[in-house]
Amino acid sequence: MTFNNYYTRIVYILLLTLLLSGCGLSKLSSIQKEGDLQVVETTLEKNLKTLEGLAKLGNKSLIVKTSRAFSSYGGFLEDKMEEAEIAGDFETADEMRSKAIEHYVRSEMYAFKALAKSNKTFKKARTVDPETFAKAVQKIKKKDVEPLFWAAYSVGRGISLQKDDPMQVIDLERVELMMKRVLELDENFYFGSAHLFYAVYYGDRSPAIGGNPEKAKEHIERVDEINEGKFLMSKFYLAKYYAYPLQDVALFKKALQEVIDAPSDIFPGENAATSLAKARSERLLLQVDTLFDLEEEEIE
Amino acid sequence: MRNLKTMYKRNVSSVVCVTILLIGLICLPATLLAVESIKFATLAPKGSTWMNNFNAMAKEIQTNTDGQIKFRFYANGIQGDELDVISKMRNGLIHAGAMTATGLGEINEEVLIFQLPRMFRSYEELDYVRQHLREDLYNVFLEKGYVLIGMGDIGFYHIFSNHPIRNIDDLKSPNVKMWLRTNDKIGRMFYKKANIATVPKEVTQVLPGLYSGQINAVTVSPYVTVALQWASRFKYMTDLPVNVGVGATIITKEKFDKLTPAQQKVILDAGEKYQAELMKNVRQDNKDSLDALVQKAGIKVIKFEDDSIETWDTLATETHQALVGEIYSQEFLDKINKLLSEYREKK
Repeated sequence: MTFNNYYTRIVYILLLTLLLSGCGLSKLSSIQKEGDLQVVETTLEKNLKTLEGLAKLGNKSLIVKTSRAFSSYGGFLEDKMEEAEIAGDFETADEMRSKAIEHYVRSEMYAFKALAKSNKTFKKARTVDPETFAKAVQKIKKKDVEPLFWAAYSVGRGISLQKDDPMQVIDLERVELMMKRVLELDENFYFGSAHLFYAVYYGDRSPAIGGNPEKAKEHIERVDEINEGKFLMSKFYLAKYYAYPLQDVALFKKALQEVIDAPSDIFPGENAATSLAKARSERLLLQVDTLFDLEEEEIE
Repeated sequence: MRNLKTMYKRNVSSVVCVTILLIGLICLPATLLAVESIKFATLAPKGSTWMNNFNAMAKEIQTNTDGQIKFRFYANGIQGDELDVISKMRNGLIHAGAMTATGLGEINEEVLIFQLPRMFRSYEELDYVRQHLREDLYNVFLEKGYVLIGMGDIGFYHIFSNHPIRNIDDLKSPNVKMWLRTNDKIGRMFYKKANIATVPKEVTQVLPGLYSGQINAVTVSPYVTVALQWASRFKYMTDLPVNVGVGATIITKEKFDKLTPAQQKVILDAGEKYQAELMKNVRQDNKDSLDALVQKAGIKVIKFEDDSIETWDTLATETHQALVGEIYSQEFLDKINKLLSEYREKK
């Protein structure tokens, strides 16, 4: 290690101590308890640069936290993109899409960096041949389920925003492989969200080309079992990736209304997730007349 | 008094305005008053090259008809597979759609002539013939109650396999289990003539078939291999372009006839412009997909031997002839062959 590197590390360690005791990162560490989404978003946004600086220290836990923060903030950018699309402001929507992609790319980079500490294959996770990648994923132990999940999640979200780029789409198989491994190692991880990936995987395409709404539903139901129905995002997914593909407007409305009507403290300590599910459900419910043929429904 | 005069003036001007408005409304054709909503269904996912293209086309049509024509898209196969969509189009529930061979074959099998094995050797040949047959194709669909917005393709198909395919004998090996779409009459005829065994299945059964080993070879475009996550199941792609996959965007004549001639023109003009754009993008997608397959999925491109290309072409020509009367007329086949000869002579 050079003197400069050593000096930088010392400065970062000092900064870390100061920041963790200050309002920034300490707030971030308990962000899941915050029910105000504006506060969640601002806190994430403000701390991304600090986290990146700290991630340079090489501490695996900080690297993973940085990855998670970038993916979480990417979700807020996607929400803004959707809002702009609904409003017909396609310029803003494109800008938000590009920003979200950039954040997922950074999230992916940090997640694979954390995984590469155990297996160097992950330094070239998206370019290494498929067999080597599959073997490396299979070797991942339970202690690495967190970076594995965020790697899969960030690559998956990036692909979903770039469906017109085959160089991205081809990596969906790698994402599926990683999510499958998350389920093997710890299906309960992060509210059982690997199951929600499968809900999108099977629910977001036509059965004619490999979609399967019933399989999507099975995965969503498993999330409900894991969280005893307290993780409201599962109902949002039920509406979007099961009721919508089947054009079941009654179930769509019911599932979303249940989320909206649920008490905001239904999941103690996870207020951010509850608020996010409620906000997304409200937005999706407002689109009911563009997603369903209500005239036809009324005639029937 | 002044107030009364003002009130009188206001009342008179209101009556005049209302009268003018009413006369105007009576004079306007009913079609100009209503916003026509065109329900458009496709298997293409939101955010794909196809949907991006259709969205841009819809936006332009809406602008150029002063908001009188709006599209309502059902992407991701929300309205069912192509046969379901055709059925809904016949019942007036869906008005327009983007179709591949499955749907187009249901409307008019004759257009499947574009899918014949080795009919076209390059995109230039295909474009030349299609351009010269524009009117014929338009009329073929019109006779069946549809207006052709754009005739295109989903690219050239290649053999993807687990064993290197260098010649026809390689395909006859018992180790090769070649998929054939259940209702693909053209493929069935060709493989029968070539004495190549096939495994008939629907598209939905291909991925499970690839995992179980019932299937280990298919002919599809590089883009489809990527989009349907079949890539990891193959090791090789043979460089011979075996045939083209057809595609088209159509609207029911019933809906089209409800539009004014000016609105119809806007749709057809936009259709032509965006179809050309779509073809450019789809071809780029196929190129990018092949790069992705080679660079990321480790697929090796195998050269098909020259001698076998000759044999393959002979079998293809026999297939073209054998399907006359069953799928298309001799006249239509001759017309395409004449155009191809013309093009090949010019080159």
